[in-house]
Order: sequence, then C-alpha cells, then structure tokens
Amino acid sequence: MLHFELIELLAKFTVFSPLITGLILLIFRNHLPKKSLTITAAVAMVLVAISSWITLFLTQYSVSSGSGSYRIFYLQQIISTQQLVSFAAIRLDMLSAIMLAIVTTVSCVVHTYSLSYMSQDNGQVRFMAYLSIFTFAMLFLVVGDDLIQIFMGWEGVGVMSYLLIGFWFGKESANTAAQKAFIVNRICDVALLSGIIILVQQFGVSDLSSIFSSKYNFISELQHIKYPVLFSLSKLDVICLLLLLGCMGKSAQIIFHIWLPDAMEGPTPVSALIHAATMVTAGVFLIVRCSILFANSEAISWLILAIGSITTIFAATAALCQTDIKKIIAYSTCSQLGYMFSACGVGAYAASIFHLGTHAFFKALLFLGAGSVIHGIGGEQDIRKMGDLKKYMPYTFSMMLLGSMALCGIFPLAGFYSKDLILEKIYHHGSPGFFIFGMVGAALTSFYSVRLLYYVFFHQHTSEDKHDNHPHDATSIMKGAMFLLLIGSIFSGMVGHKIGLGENKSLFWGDIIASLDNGKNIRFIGGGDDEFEVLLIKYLGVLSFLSAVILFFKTKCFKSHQICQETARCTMLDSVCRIFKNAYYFDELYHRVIVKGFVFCSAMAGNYLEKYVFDGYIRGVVKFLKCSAQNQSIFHSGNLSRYITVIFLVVLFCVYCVLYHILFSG
Amino acid sequence: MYTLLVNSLVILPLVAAVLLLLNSVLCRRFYCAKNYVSEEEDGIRYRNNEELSGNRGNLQLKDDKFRLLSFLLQKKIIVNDKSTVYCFFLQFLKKCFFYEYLGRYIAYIAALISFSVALILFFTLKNSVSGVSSYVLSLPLSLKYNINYSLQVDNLSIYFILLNTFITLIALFEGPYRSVNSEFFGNKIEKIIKKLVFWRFFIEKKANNQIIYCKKNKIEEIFKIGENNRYYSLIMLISLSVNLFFLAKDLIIFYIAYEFVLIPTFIIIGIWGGKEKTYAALKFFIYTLFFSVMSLAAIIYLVSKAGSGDIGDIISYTKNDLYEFRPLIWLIFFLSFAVKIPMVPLHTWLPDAHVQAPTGGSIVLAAVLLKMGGYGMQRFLIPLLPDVAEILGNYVVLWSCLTMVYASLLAFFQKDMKKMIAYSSIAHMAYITAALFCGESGQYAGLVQMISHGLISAAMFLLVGVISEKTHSKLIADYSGIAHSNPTVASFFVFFTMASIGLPGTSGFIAELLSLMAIFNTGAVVLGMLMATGMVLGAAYMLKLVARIIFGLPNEGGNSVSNLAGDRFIALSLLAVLVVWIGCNSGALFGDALQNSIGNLRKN
Repeated sequence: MLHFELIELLAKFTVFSPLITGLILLIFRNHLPKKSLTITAAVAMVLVAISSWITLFLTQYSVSSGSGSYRIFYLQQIISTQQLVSFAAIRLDMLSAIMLAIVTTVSCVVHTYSLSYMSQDNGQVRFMAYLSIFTFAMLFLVVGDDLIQIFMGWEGVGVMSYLLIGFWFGKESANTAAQKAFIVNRICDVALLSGIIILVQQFGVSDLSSIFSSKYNFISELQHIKYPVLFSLSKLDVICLLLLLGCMGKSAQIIFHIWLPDAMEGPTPVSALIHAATMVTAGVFLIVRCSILFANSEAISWLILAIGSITTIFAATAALCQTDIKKIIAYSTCSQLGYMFSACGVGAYAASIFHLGTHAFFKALLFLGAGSVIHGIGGEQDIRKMGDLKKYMPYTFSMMLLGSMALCGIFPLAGFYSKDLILEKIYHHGSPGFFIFGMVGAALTSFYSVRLLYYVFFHQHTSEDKHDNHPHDATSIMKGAMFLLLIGSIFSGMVGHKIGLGENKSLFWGDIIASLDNGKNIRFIGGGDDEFEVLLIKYLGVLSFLSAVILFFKTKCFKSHQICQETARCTMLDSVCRIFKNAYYFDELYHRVIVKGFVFCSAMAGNYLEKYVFDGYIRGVVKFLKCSAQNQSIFHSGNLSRYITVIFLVVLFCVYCVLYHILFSG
Repeated sequence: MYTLLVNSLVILPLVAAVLLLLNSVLCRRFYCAKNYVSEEEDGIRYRNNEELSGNRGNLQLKDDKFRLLSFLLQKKIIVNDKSTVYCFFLQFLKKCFFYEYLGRYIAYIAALISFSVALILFFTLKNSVSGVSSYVLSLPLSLKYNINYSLQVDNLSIYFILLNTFITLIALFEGPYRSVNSEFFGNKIEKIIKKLVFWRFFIEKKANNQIIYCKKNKIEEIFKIGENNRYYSLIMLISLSVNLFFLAKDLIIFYIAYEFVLIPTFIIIGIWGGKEKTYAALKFFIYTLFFSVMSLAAIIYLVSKAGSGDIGDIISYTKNDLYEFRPLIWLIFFLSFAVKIPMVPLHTWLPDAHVQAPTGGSIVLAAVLLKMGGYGMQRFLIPLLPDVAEILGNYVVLWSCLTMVYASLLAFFQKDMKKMIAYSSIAHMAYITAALFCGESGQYAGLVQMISHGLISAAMFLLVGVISEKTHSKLIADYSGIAHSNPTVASFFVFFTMASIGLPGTSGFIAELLSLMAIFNTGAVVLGMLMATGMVLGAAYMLKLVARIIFGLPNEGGNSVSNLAGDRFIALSLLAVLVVWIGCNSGALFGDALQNSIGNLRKN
C-alpha cells in the first residue's frame, strides 16, 4: 500500500533529520555564518513538525481503518549475540505518533524561540545543535520498539540534557546542576537497565512487540515466579519496580526529583523543551508503553499511584514558596508529572497521555513566557525583584495568564479536560485518599500560579530594588512562537476530548495500551457523572483560581512580600514556608548523607586503604628485602682484617666442634 | 599464503625494530660527522669551527669511529659499482641507517602493513565457512619436550591482533619529540587536506604548534636525534611481542611473549617517564615479573607432564589427567593474569606506571598490555581447568565487583588526571574478569569490553597527553575551562568520557550491557546490581573530571593547552568512529564467527 511507504519515509525523515541537522551545525559551527545555520535548524525543525503531524494523521487513519494497531520499520541491528538480537526500528502506533507530534511541535517552537532568545549568545549554533540532537534522541526513544533502543534514546536525552543544563559551562552552578541531573538520572537508569535485562532474560527477546504478543501466557507465568529474597514480590513485580525506578528518575518523581529544580540553570528554552514538555515525560511514556506489564502488577500500580499523588502535593507545596520564577514552574512540572503517574497508577494510561500532551503545550508556554520575562528585564529570575511588569510586557502577560489558566484547569482551556479526566479516573478507581491528594494538588496549582502572576506582573514595589534597565516585551519571533503554543494550550484539550484521546478506545489507540475496561484488577465504585465529587472536580479549577485571586489581590496580608522572605520572626507560617521553600530538605539530606558519605568513603579508601594496605604491603616487602640486604652487607665490608677474623673464628668453631665430638662422644 | 601473513605479523615489527634501533644509534653519528661535530663519551661538543672551515671541501674523517661512515659516505664506491641493484640497495640501506627521517617511514610502513595484514586475516577468518581457525608454521624448538614455535590465529585472537596493530599505529604518533612527528605526518596530511576545501573545517586553524628543533642550542638538538627512532623501535618491539602472545599456540612461546613485553615497556617508562620514572618502571617490572615467574613453574610442570608444549594438547591432557594440584595450578595462573589485568590487591603498579609513563607508553599499556591478562584467562586459564573455573569463578565475579567499586572510589579521590583514568581502567577491567567467568556469553562480553576499553582508554590517555603536553602538569587543579580555549580537544574529551561511562550508542555501553547480562544470567542478581552501580560511580568520577578541567572558567593556564595536531585529530576521529560503530552495530564486528570460536574454545 502506498501510504505505508509514505508513512515510513515520513517517520524516517522525522526521526533522523534532527540528528543530521544537529551534526551539521556542530561541525560547521565555526565555518559558516551563525545566522544561516540557526535558521536552517529552525526551518528543518518546522519541516519535521509538519511531517510528524502528517505521520500522526496517516497512522490514525491506518489504525482506525483496522489494518493493525502498530507497524514496525526496521532500521539496523544494534546487538547480535546468541542471547539477544536487538534491532533499531521505528515503531509507529498511536502512542508513538502522538508523542512524535508533541515532541516535534514543542521542539519546533523552541527552536524558533531560541533564534531570538539566544541571538546574543556566542554559542547559539552549539545551542541549536544540542537542541536538535536532543530532539533526535527523544524521537528515537519514542519510536523505539526494542528495549535496548529505548534505553539508548533514554540515555541520549539524559546526556543532551546534561550538556544543555551545563550549556553556560563557565558557570559553576550550571556545571554542578548538570552533573547532579546526570548522576541522579544515572542511578535510576541503572535500575531501569537491570529491569530491562531481567525482562530480556525472561523472554529471550528485547522487542516489546514480541514480548507483548506473548503476554497472556508469559505474564501470568511471571506473576507466579516469586523472588525468594524480596518478600512476596513476584518476578513481574520486581521487573515493574525496576522499570518504575527508572521512570521516576526521568520524570522527577519524589525521592528522585532533586535534579529538576536545579536543572533550571540551563537556558530557558531548554527548560521549556526538556524539563517541561519532552524529556521529563519520558518516564510516563515508558510506563504507558509497558502498560501491559504494569497493569498486571497490582502492587506496583498502587505504588505508582502513591508516588504520583505524593509528588503532586509535595511539589505543589514546594512551588508555593519558591522565589525563582523558573523553579516555581519546575516544581509545577513535577507536580503535573505526579498527576500523570497517578493516572498510570489507576490504569488510566490514555488519560495520562492526554494530560502529557496538553501539559506539554501550556507548560512550554509558561516557560517561554518566563523566558520572555527574564529576557525582558535583563536576566533577573527572582520574582521579588520583578513586579508591575504588566504594563511593560502586555503580550507576555496575556500569554502567561492564559497558560496559567490552562494549567489550573479553567473551563475551555486544555488543562480542564485532561486534569479533570485524571481526577475522575482516580475517583472512580476507589482510592479516596489519593483522590483528596489530587484535589488538594489541583487547588494548590491555582495558588502558586496566581502567586507567580501576582508577583511578576502586578506587585507594586515599595523598595528601591526595582529593575533598572527598561523592561521590554518579547520580540516578534518569540511572540509568534508563544502564540503557537497558546493555540495548543487552548484547543488541545477540546480536540482531545472530542476525539476521545483520554479514553482507552481501541478504535483510536489500537490494542497497544492496557485497557481499563477489561483489566481484571481495576475496581469500579460509584457510577454516573452526577455525583457531587465529580461536579466538584469540574468546578475546582475555577473556584480555586478565583479564591487565589481574591487571596492575593484583595487580602492585605500578601501585599507585602512576606511569604517570600525568610523573616526573622518565627511564626508558624514562616517555618512552614521555609520547609516548603527548601522542598522538605531533600537536597540537604542527600548532600549530607549520600554525597558526603561517598566522598568520605573515597577519601578513606585513598588515604588509608590504598596507601597503607595495598601499596603498603608492597612497600613492606621491599623494605624487608632492603633491610635484610643491609644486614647481610655488614659481612661484605671489604675489610680484610675483618674477613680474616671471621674466617679464623669459624675455623676455631669448627675445630672446637670436631674436638668436642672426638673427645666426648667417642 | 596465510602462513606468510601470520608470520609477517611477527617478522615485520621485528625487522622494523632492528632497523630502527640501528638507525637511532647510527644516525646521530652520521649527523655528527656531517656537521663536523664529534661525539664523545661524556657528551657532544663542537669541533672548532675555525679548524674545520678550511677543509670543508674534502672531508677527512680521521676518527676510527667514523671509518665505516666515511666508507659509506663516499659516493665513489657506490657509483663505481657496476650492479645498479646493489647500488640502489646500498643507498637505501645507507639511508635507512643514517637518515633519521627514514626511521619514521620504516615504523609507519611496518605498522601499516601489519595492520592491513591483520585486516586481511580478519576478513578471511570471518568469511571462512568451516575453518574457524587457521594453523600455521611450526618450527621445533625442543624435540624432547615437543616444544614448537607455532603460531595460530583464530576468530578470538584476531580481534586482539587488530587492536594491537591499530593501537601501535596511534602510539607511534606519540614519540618523545613530537616536532619530528608532526612535521612528517601531521603537516603533510594537513597540507593535503587543506587543498580540499570541503574538508577544511576538519582542521584546527592554528595547528602550528610544532617546536622545530631549536637552532640555538645545537647540543640539545643532537641529543634529540635518533630519540624518536629509538622510541619507535621499542613500540615495535612491544607490538611484536604482543602479537606473538596473541598468536602463540605453544605454551612456552606464550610465556616468552608474556614476559618479553615487559622489557620494552620498562625501557619506555624508564627513559621518557616523569619524575619518578625509575621507581615506577622498576615497580611495574618486578611486580608483574614476580607473579608470572610463579606461573613458569606451573608451565614447566604442565609441559613436562603433558609431553607437549601445545596449548591444545595441554588442555586435553588436563581434562583426563592431572588430578593433583588442580586448584593450585589454576590459582597460580590466575594470579599471574590477574596482575596484568589488574585486580585489586595486585594493582598498585598500574597507577604509578601510568602516571610516570609517556603518553605513548600509557596508550600501549592501557589499550593492549592489560588485555594480555584477559586474553590469557580466556585462551588458557578457563579452558585449562573448566571445573575449577566453575567453582572458583563465583568468587572471581564477587572479587571483580569489589574491585570495580574500590577502583571507582579511588578514581573519585585522585587529584592527578592520569591516575584517575588509570583507576578507571582498573574499574573497567573488572567488568572483564567478572564477565569471563560467567559462561559463554560472558566470554563474548569480556572480549567486547576488552576491545572497547582498548579503544576508549587509548583515546583518553592520548587526550590527557595533549592536555598536559605544554605545562607538563597532570594535576586536575591546574586546568580549567579548556572548552573555552580549545573546543576541539574539549569535544573529544567529553565524547570519550561519555563512551567511558557507557553511554548507549558507544562501545562502552554494549560491553557493559553484555557483561551485566552475563552476570545476571548466572542468577547472581545482587552481584549484577552491584556491578551495574559501576555505571553510576563511573559517571561520578568522570563527570567530576570533565567539570573541573573542561568546563568552568579558564584559568591562567587555560590557554596553555596545545591545539590538536592533524595526526592526533585523525587518530582520535578514527577511535571515535570505531567506538560509535561498535556501539551502534556490534554485530557487524563481533559476528557469529566469534561466537563459534568461543564455543569451540570451551568444547576443547
């Protein structure tokens, strides 16, 4: 059929042209004019975005017309041993096609935005090259059918994130943040890799299509293999746990979230692309990709739900008290990722992907808006030093406002559909505790969003520390880029709702994700939509947003920026605020325990063990030999009279012995 | 045909080494003679210029030393000779012996030919349907004990031969006086490439970092003459003995090659090393010698019992006989190989040797010499007593895991970058020992890791050599912000760092993945997880190194990093291409033939 060839061609173009663009930029960065290179990269990315949307439509057409829910185009062998043969391939199904479209769209917008945002930077070409290569790695990850390929993309995005966070490598803080991000991710990747290895050993193949095609017999088998070491966990649970750990790292869930706020050291477009829209959602993507495994593991599903809910609340509270504009949005991202995890935990995988898509748009929009603010006032990121920017940058303000409203879930905007769907699913799943977590998180979302808007755009300064250089609004390129995302943030929810993106409809998704309806572990309680709680969900966004607006604009207590400052007065509010601001002191804890412990161990090993034990025994042997040689050398002094004396004494001794023998034993 | 090819792997480096050694001795004298300088025992001093200026036209060399020289120098002799072939040969010989620049040609040509021979052998072996291995030439050394000089190449050893010949080529670039080198290779290639406009971007704009012989001080200049050739000849000697080791079919030859390689390495460290070169060279020599001499006793015992020196014969003998001393013999061999690898309590020679060795020496040491231990285990130790290997193997895996963790901790602690990379070598080699004792798949993984580590560590040491070339300081604290002053070096450094910590898409990842899979296969999940933490620990110390020296603000010494000369650029690019190629398509290089070969090894 013609259109499969077309799909293959388009998919290959989509995946590989960012890589080629990136490499060309890297190689030619000193030899061709900067402007032409950067524009080439942006144009290439626009083409890629267009082709990915066409791919999406074609894939949707072929899925809905019933010609198989997925299609695999093999590219090249990666590993071929007797245990494992793995192929790099492009797997096109609805999941990967949607991810392709999301990633390339945001990437295209961010590329365009960077044309203007980074134009003052000497390393702009390098920056664009990194962005392009990052996009490639992400695309390579999402089209992966083979677990090894997915892991390649997984680590690839990790390393590009490392390079981009540390893009301004002259800055010490950027370096540290980059290292931190890489190492935290690496810890989780080790778990992921171990999970992959166990999975591969179990099935003998590493491609998901073969693993899942044999799902019914093998998975039930796996459920019955118990690990003797780990209490009552079956092998499937262990595999899922390890995969989950990997996903938690990438998606910055609690315990492993510490790298995400620090990652804001990178340029703002990076935060928009990597730390909001694409890379951090890779964990969610992988869970959905492996949903057939996760849906069968009840314990781990519960764990995902718990982790997601806790992260939602935790990150939202942390966002409440941050003073860095980007860190607020970073914690907000963390919190939204918590929603996606929760959705995965209750088996609403499609809803999770729905939220992933809408979130990509409005969160990227928020980041780009924040970037525009930072750009406009000359690099300042502290919201306490901003304020009253509404009149200077009205365009950015409207963007940020709409983005925040979309984030909070106000009626026609994107977040309303996706977040409410997740909350509904959690509610129907029958875990009221986690449902309340989700509701509180949604309410908190409005509070920190409004707080950010208030401090950046409305707050009137009393003190003198106002921005000196005249703030200016975004440039036209930046405006255009943000507008594209705005369209996404307004309409993606509606469109998704209309086509039923959030439901596991097999007509739309094919059979690639575990279905909510026939999953045997999924419990239902309650019934129709007319319940009070469901209504509450619907209006939660508006209510909380309005109350937050009233709180910040009408109440006196927040007029002075009390909540942001660490005042000497130790009121209850302040101490709570301090805990929130330091994100429950996770960073401190890890630094004190893990980092210091590691450094201490290595110092002990280097200073004592190596020096005195392992090298010491060699030195001891040498010393012993030297000593004994020196002792012997007394006899070889070259002193003739001493030699004669010794000889004489020896002879005397011998004579004595002989005489003794003769005289007394005879 | 193949006999010739396989033997040329040994003979070519030998001939080249001898020629180069003679050249390095004679060319200095020739130079002295030509420039009216006399060489004396305690140094070199000029002859009085006034004295010589009179009879410049007809140079009479009165010194007895120079009689041979003057004989060869007189063109008359050559012209008078009727045979032009003879004449040509003599002239060539003369040039080979007396002109220093020809030494380079000899070395490079010999290295290139051996590399291409290795390639030919590789492709022949890969395509051969039935013959997994090819047996060649055997000259009897001792009829009584049936010891032969016999060489054999199969699908396993060919990878090491390839690695060795390739690394030899790269190590040749790193002579003690690089000026001479880059004049030849770097500049010429650069000139050629610069003509092709399209390729122009490959070259650093200001690659003119060569220190041309300093004209002011002629005495130093004369000392430099021949130094490079001496270095080349030692590298060729290492290449020869390593080739011999990988090719050996006879246990005695195997042992001789294993020991002989110490001598040139010892000399390289001893002559061109750093401040504590004597200590390091001696430590390296005696440490490794001590443990391998122990194995000599075991070898003699085995050979006399089996009545043959052939490794295959010995292995088949031990299968049915030899019930006494089994674990003891195994342990002796294991220790002698473990020192070379090195495993933890036996490792302290390596950091010292690396820190003191010159760049070329480090490259060869890390990339090739360490692999001799791994190859020895794979080829000899595991097939020799598989039952013992099975029992003790679990402990070896555990020990390797501990080695890995310990070496990583130490690497994190180091303040000297070469030492850090040396410790990281120990950590990576631990993957090999762990994998080798995990069955057939592990042997495959071990081989991939050995090749991969050979490529990556060579590049890392080369880069450290480039960075520390001007300042002669290897302390991490002395460098900062190289990415500002020298982006090409920085890019390569970051790339190979990523390869070293096993980023997917590079050979390091494939090797680590396969090793981990092999360990997991044995059911030792906890050990596997412990080994997998190596990926985190490796990232911790390597990223620390990168953050300190490559990133950050440039300090005062930041600009003192020399630019990447053309030859080094080519070497690093080749290494990078290989690393990526293996990483993205390991099946192409390590194909089925290798797996059959490993399978045969275990069946024997």
